[in-house]
Amino acid sequence: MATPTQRSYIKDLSVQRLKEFKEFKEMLYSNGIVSPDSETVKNAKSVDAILDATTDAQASKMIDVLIARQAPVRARTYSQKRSERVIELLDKIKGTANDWSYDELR
Amino acid sequence: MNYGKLADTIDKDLLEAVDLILNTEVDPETRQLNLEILLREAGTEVYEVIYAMNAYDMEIEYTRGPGINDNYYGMAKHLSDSISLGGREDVIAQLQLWLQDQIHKAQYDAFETAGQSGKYRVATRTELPGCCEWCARHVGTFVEPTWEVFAQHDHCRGSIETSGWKSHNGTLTGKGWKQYKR
Repeated sequence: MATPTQRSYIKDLSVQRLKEFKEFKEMLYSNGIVSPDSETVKNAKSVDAILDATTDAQASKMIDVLIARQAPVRARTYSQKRSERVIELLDKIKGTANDWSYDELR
Repeated sequence: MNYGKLADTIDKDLLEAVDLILNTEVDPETRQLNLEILLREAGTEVYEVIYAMNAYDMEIEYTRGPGINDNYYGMAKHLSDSISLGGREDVIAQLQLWLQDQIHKAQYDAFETAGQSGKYRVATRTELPGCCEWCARHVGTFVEPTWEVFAQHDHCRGSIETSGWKSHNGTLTGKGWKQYKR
């Protein structure tokens, strides 16, 4: 069973080194940490679900693989279009909340 | 009153904004920072509106609530990390609960401030002569009444006078008070 410290470290490293959750599964298969026909990994919807069924030896190997992996290059800003849409949505949320009335509660 | 259902009107927009920020091509720290801003702004607005509605109802319009607590930092990290760690459905469910928490906190804060300001909700239940034994036991004046004060059977002839609660003030009689049951 993976220890709490291993779990926490694996999750921190995964956030730093992986863009998406599916890369975690691919990493386990390609490094032979789990067998290619592992149903647990195939059906898992989160790293937590995989770690629930991980031995401490497997967890240790995951840490080694994650440390050896380069962190992907990612942007530190959002596109203008995306930022504007988020601001627009936030204004809409504020406007909707401001219009709440007792009538909607009856 | 169930203020929680008001959250349904902003859920969709909040989720769309969260999805836009949860971009795999953006650095996790940047995602988290932007989510913190989004949740703080949206949460504060929700809190202030719900507090104001409750404050009006409790006749303490001149007060302001202490505001949302800082658990939006944790929520933002949880959301940001979910791209790499999976479990999106659980995290979205937690976000909806978080929003409900802001609403409940605003209600609770207003309730507490009302109590500290000496504003109490009072219900006075009276019965007509010759009422049944069960009804006679429910007669009285109750401060911060619980739902039991409003309990009634099919042929109750008594009435309840409520005060200290703007949206519910007045006299409730017969079938009319069924809708005010909490």
